[in-house]
Amino acid sequence: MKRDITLKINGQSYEVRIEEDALLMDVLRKNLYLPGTKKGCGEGECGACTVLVDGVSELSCLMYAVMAEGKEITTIEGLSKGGKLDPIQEAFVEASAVQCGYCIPGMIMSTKNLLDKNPHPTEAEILDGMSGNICRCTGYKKIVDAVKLAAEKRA
Amino acid sequence: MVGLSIVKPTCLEEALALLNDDTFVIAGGTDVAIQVHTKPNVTKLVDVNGILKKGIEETKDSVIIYALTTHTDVMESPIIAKWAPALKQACSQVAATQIRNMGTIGGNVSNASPAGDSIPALLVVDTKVTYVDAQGEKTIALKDFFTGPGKTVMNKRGLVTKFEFAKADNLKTAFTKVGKRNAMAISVVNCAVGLYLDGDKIEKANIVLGSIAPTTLHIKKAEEYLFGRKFAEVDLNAFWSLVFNSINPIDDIRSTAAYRKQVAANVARSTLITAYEGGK
Repeated sequence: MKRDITLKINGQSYEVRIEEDALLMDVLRKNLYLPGTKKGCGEGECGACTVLVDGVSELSCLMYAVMAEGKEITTIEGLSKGGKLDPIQEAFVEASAVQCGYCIPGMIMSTKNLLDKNPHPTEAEILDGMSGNICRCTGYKKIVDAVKLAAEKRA
Repeated sequence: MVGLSIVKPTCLEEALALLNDDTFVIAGGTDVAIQVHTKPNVTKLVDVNGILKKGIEETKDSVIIYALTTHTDVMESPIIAKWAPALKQACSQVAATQIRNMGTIGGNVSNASPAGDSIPALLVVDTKVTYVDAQGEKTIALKDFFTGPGKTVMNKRGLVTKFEFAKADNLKTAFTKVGKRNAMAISVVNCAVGLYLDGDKIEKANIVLGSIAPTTLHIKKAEEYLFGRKFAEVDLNAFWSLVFNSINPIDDIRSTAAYRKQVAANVARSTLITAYEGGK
């Protein structure tokens, strides 16, 4: 059954007609043309679909869009301001943390959740904070470097 | 999309009237959004976010955790860190950050997985659970709540509203999880220990293992062995054998019975030592 809902995404209101059990991930990508949020495993294991919900990282593949009504959703598209990248995005570019790039939007949203709570994480805290995000290209060293650099940039 | 309807009741009575074998209660969604794919009979999700409470409160004698409290809320709570450190440790080891931000403690318990990480930690502080069903509100010991894997006394017709445990100055707790890796992995074995102490004498012991039986289990023989004993007089090898001989785990997708039995006895012994020496 179709339902009309209003979602608040990146500070903007969107009215959208969706299937009642549509997942937030699919609504973002297919209905609202915000494809920065990626579909990976679709089972809550890989973190590619991570968005911020009321400021904390959650998985849009495990969230029905109708349950996101009334909440503030932030996607990777909402981080840059006035054409300028967020310091976390800059850090990922500068640290060359990106190979294929598919996991990176989720990595960046998890970094934001981590640094918003803990601006100066230890390496162990970084590894724990990023452990819900999987990269299948290569290792995680440059991703950890990017998180450290992002923490410095935000200081 | 599997054609589910998602309803948002506005009061407990309305929610309870919707519950039957073909509905799932949904809060954080981290289990439910997966389970619906293998349960074709489920056609309706009852979203309880608007009607249950979230948060942790400290009263004069007890700690109350409301059902919608997330794992992240639990692990960041100074009240939990003070009165139930094993529960803080358990919630910190659930899956990874995003799941901990979404998943609720009410959901973890109601889901009644034998591998649920918060359950042993709640049991060792002698938690009571409060739930509502058509007959009204009931408060029972959490150890009497589970009837099988995925099954509880609510029989899919009730809603957990809160948990409560007494603040005990003489209680020391610890928790250990064994999984295939740290992040995301479901427990192969988990263990929590709670020791009520009078000096170095154990007044009461709770030794709880998860993922080794259809429900999370108190190891009664090991608890009886520790009862009234000074810690220095505990024969740790005898304790290990009591645990080893008390359990009869199974082979499954995550591990083998033989490995589970060995490692369960090992972690029960090491968690006992950690609780006494390092717990608070």
